Amino acid sequence: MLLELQHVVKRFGGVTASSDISFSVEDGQIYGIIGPNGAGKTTLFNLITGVYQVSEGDILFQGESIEGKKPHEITSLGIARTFQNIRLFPQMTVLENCLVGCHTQLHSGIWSSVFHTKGQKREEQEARQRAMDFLKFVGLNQDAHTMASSLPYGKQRKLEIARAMSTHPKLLLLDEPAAGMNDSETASLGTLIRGLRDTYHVSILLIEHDMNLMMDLCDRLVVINFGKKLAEGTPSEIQNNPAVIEAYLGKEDEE
Amino acid sequence: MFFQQLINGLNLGSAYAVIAIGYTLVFGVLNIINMAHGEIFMFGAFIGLMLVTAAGANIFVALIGAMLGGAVLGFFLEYLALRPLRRRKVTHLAPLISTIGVSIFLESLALKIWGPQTQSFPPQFEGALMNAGLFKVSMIQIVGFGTAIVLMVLLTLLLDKTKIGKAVKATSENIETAGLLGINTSRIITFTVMLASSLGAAAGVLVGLSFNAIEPTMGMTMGFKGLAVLIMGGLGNIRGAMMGGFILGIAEVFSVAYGASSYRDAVAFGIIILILFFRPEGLFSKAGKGGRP
Amino acid sequence: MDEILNGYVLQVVVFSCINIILSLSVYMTLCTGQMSLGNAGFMSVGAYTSAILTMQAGLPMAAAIVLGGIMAAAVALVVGIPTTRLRGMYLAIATLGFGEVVRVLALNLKITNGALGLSGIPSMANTLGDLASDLLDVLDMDTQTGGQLLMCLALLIVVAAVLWFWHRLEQSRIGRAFAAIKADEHAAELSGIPIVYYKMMSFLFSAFFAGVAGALFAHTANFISPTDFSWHKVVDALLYCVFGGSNVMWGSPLGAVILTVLPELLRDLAEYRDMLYGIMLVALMAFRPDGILSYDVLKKLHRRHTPRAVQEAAKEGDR
Repeated sequence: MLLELQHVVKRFGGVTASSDISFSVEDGQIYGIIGPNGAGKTTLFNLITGVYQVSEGDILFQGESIEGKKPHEITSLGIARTFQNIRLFPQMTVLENCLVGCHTQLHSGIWSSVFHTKGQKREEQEARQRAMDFLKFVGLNQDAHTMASSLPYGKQRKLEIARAMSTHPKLLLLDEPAAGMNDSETASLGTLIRGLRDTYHVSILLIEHDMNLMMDLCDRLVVINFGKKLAEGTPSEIQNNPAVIEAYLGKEDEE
Repeated sequence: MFFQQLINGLNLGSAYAVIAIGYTLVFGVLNIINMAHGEIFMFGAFIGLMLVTAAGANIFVALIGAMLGGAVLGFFLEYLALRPLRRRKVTHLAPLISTIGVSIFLESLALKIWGPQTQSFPPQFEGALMNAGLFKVSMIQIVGFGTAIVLMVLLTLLLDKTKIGKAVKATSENIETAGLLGINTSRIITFTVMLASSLGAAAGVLVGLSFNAIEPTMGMTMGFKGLAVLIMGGLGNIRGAMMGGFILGIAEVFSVAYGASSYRDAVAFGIIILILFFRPEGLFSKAGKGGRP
Repeated sequence: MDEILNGYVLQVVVFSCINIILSLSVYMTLCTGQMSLGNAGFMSVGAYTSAILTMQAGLPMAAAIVLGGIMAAAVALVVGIPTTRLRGMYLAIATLGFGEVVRVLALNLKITNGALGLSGIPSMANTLGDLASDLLDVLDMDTQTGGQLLMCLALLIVVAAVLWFWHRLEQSRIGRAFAAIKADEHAAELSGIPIVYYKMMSFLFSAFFAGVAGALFAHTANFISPTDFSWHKVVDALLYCVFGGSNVMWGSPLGAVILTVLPELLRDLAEYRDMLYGIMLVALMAFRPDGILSYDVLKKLHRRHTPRAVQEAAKEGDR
């Protein structure tokens, strides 16, 4: 088991944002989280990445509790994420954004950084190479020296993925990666996500509203509503679950 | 001795509280620290002094004149140094730097106008001294303390009962929501900075009266202490600022009385560093507010 | 030759060098998106430490200067532990308070000689002049001028070393971490960067170099008192940095040199100096918060000085 949420509860003051949520992601899975806006999906991401601390319950990564760990520690353990509203480093180039992601993989201290020792040079060279690999994979290698802020929206989303991949995650959390994309862009994103899993053996936990994409892409899904787990299962199980249809899928039809 | 010091401390503390409220009001609506607040305080003291000495005004008239003068300074401060920064995306450090600029400008302007020497109010309420056995209270202390309390009560009423006060509170709570609710946040910000500045100027007159020493560099020293109180009370917390002011006033007076007189100016910052160590959200803030994004 | 090397010009060079190091120390914390307003305090710690070590413990000057910086960094560690954990303006306020505490201590302690200050601090010019007396004899220079000249040279070397050090650091993994924290603390942390650690690092470097600047000041002015390290010193340093360009390393030295030399040329305006500085800070924030040198200006300069062929080749290489 790669990631396991055990009866996770999160309260903010008197408001319960997540109550008693349990599910687990296995190695190599693409796992989807769906639910209406405000259901508490991003809250789960913030709990998994250590931005928030759980109020009750526990989160295990590779069998070990990540309770109380700081976000950067969790990232070095192998969980990376992207953000719903893009958060790149706008004044850095595309390549530099990825190199920041490589941070946990590098080890030069002050001394070797200042004197550019042999080890530091080799390490930097390797990091560059790796970052370029990821950029190529998401189709940004031609933009490597462009300022991140001057990239078009779709490419910024891809850069976020490349930056997250640069941390060498075992689990990649994607928060609405297809937001604002048209159908063909969404389709190619689906291919990209599957490709990441197959090429780099990274498991993926995904929040997305695009049902077609989710049903097509995910091995398993969990449905969250009002901070509670409504259902869990394979795409076909979810599609046929009456509670889900009533609470969520049904609502879409009415619109 | 103890009661006498307590009275002196409360008197000084009331002035600190009024200064710190000015900081905290501005922090509430703008999320910035107005580094020029101390200099507006100093200008308030000088305006009051001028009104008394040059225009022969009554001390209360001078107080109101100083508050009006402070409000005008506050208007220009907001219009010239803060508003331009809101129009463009700048770092949160920009307003800090910009108001430092205003503070340096005002300080050297005051040096130019009034010179570096220490000046003082002509004696007020001479001879009036109440003796309550355990301690003595001068009329100046009563007037100073009373005025500070009246100002704080008026401010609380203004914020709690009036429409504009509620708008100020709403804007501090969340500026976007306040804007959506139809509050003209830009006007509220200007109003708040003017209000804060007039309180600062009033504190200037009060301190000038109690200590009988008005000089251009007083703005910096008192401004820094106001900042200490701001941290003590918790950023943006008005009641905290009031309490913090009294605590600092009493702590300082006692540190002087019990032998550490030359370190009195360091007391405030010793407290800041201790508070940041143990209770960074301030002494009087509710737990759970603020923190992570 | 004599005209160029007269004492006055050398004095301006000395001040420029010290101001460059001081404004770089302001820049170093800005690198992680924080602001330290305690640089005068750290400068003071460095200056008094180095002065006392040379005068009372008889330490060699070079060692004392380095120890002055280390002492300032050690003090910064204490101030920094509670504050770098916090966001926003806490560091600014805490360091501001720290500066005041240091000033009050310096005014009251016996070892700093209170408001009178320390005089007769070993002079760098004399020390260097004595060290190189043989060389100066050969060059037919008296030790006085020669020492002054060597002092300028030494300071220029120190400035170059600091610039080189920070430039290399910025080009590394550490520099990228600084820049990422400045751009977006939250995203940086979730990219695996321990933000408290790096904020602390930049703050300690800042304090160290402010301390070194103070120590250099002590041994070039040969007299220090608490008024030398007042709040106005902080405002000056901040202005150098912001005026020159607070987003790039070269901004601070540029601002420091311009604003050290300019007042010397415009002596008539001296009494309005602080007023002008205040107006400049406000105007800069309103109209050009990036200062003279911004990313864009640097990039343009860089492009102009790179031959076209190299640019083309670089582009090719990316494809």
